[in-house]
Amino acid sequence: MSAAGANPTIPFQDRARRALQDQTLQQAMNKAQGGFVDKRREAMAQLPEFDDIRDAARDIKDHVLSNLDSYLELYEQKVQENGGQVHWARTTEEACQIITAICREAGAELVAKGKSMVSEEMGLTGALETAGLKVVETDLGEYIVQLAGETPSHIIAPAVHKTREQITELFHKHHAKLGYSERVTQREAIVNEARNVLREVFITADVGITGANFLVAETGANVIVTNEGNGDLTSCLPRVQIAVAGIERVIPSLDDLSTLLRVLARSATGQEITAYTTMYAGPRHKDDGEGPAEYHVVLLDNGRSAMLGGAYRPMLRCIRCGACMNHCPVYLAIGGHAYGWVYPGPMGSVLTPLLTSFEQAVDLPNACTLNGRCKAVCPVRIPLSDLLLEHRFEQHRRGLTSAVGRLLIRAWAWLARRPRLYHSVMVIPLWLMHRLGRKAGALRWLPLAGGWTGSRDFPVPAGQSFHAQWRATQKRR
Amino acid sequence: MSSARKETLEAIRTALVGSEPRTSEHLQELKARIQESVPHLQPQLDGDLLTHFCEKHIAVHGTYERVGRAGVATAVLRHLDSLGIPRELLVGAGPILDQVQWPEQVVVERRSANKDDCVALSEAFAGIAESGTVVLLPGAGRPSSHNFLPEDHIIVVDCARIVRHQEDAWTLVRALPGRAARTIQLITGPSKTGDIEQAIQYGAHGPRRVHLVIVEDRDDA
Repeated sequence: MSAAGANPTIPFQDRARRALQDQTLQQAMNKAQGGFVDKRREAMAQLPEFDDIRDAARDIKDHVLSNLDSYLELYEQKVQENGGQVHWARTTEEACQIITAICREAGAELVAKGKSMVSEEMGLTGALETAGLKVVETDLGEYIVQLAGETPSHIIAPAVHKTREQITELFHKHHAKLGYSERVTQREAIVNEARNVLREVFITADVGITGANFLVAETGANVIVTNEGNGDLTSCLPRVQIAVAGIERVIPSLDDLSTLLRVLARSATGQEITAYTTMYAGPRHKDDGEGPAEYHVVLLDNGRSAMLGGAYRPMLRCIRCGACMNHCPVYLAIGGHAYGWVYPGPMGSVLTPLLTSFEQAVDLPNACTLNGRCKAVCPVRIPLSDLLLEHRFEQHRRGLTSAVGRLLIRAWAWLARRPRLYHSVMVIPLWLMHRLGRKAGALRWLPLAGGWTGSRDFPVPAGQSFHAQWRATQKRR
Repeated sequence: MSSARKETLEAIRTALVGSEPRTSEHLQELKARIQESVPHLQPQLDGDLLTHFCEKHIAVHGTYERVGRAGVATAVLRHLDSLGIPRELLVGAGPILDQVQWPEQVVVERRSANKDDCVALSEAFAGIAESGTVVLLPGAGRPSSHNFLPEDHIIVVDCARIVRHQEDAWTLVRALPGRAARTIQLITGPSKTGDIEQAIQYGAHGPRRVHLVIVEDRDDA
């Protein structure tokens, strides 16, 4: 298998190096590049109010975050009025226990799952499988990734790293025993085969689990936004419906929802609205001919409440559109798995240290060129690159940066504060680098910087500093 | 796990307001914001709503036909014939659909869909011109399964119920008597996926085709 799933036990730098050398991955990423970016740009061009609506979306989320406890209580009250149950989980383990218990109580064997990043965060599928349940992902991308034994590499396009040839082989390997003996190579045939296989799952599943793009306090509904319709089949056919969500998903009213929906799909896929946007509020009513008999919502904290108090609060505005990663040169070069955990790209580099630990994710905030594209495209105006910089400060404060690096920075700071000395010291390396690289026009190797020059050349500096050249010019006059 | 609830809410409160307790006035203010909710900035949308609705629906790979009040059954059958599909339908409830007289040779069933059903006919609660979206409210006589299992979904839309913006549809939902609808489905075109090489493929899990029969306020067909 060319691209392993996100593996946090391997250091980031090794994962990134492997990703860059993985021909199949590079082929898939090259194909994906630009598509999302162009579509988003076209969608923006058709909506002159886009930027003002983004401001409104940011303000809604800020208002919710400032009143999060109260909105959660109002939302919970509505869900209960609708006949549903709200469960609270402090940690991912607690969330998995709650959901496993609901499934056991229901005597479930088969669980259909819609795409949900928070369930990935919980490691839910693994936990349910350990408890003896069969779990099938129903979003096509997630299903492909599940067959491959991997994790999603993009939050809205989980299988973006897979080529069509790889999918053909995966389907052949796993579907032959279901009677699909022919290899399917055309896109339409691949989609049809998945449609037929997963249809059986929807019909027979005992429990359906989905995420929630939003939780609406006005109606007590969880909102799911999809193009395939798998989230709806997962929600409305099984006997037990479970929606999982982070505590920051709650919003006040349906009017707030409309504003957020207008920026979500445009930022994600360049659509005005996805094919399906559905609000589910509670179990079936008495006269309904179908629908779930039980309706549960599991709200996960897992570090979110701690983010409210500090500099990282704006990150909780995130509506998981993926625009930041679609526009990130680092993500597009290494793909999602190299980030090592559930959330990749800029939003992942901000979230991962906060939701796992600063110590485990030291490299992520540093794998950023601070070009600011993520911040510029964010539909809820999260200052992503500023937050990544804040992470670097925090690492320094916590002493997580290397001792040598800290020493060098301290030495440089000492030197830089003494301009005269600085200039006289810098004469030597400048002259030497200029001499060595003059012929080739670039330096292919530098002492102590082999990591940097390993994959690129260092431009040759001028032989003299700007100050020295300025003085010389002035003298000539 | 009530301790998890208490702890989470306390952690949020501490982060937001420290040891200061939340007042009942504060909760009332938030409730009022919900109850008196008004739309935020909306996209400007001029011109004829029906025309805009139809254009947007076409843009998302849907098809439609405009008919008079007497033309529903004929339009539905014409659509089935054009696709070469047998005249067998799952039919949902609705003010217009309940009045339709079906010719004898048409098989009309009113039950939940199963995976082998080919065509469902539903009546929309409303249409949204802004995005070419139809609003469906599944419930008694209107099963959700109709909207996702069959390969072909035909949706009757009362022209008078096409509103300008999404928020206008919420106004209609809020005006419903009794408890709010359990499920509100916004459907914009057929089911699709971009998960294979980011190329759009229709008919992922839901209907491959969505055809609207838009009923205008005139007595002919």
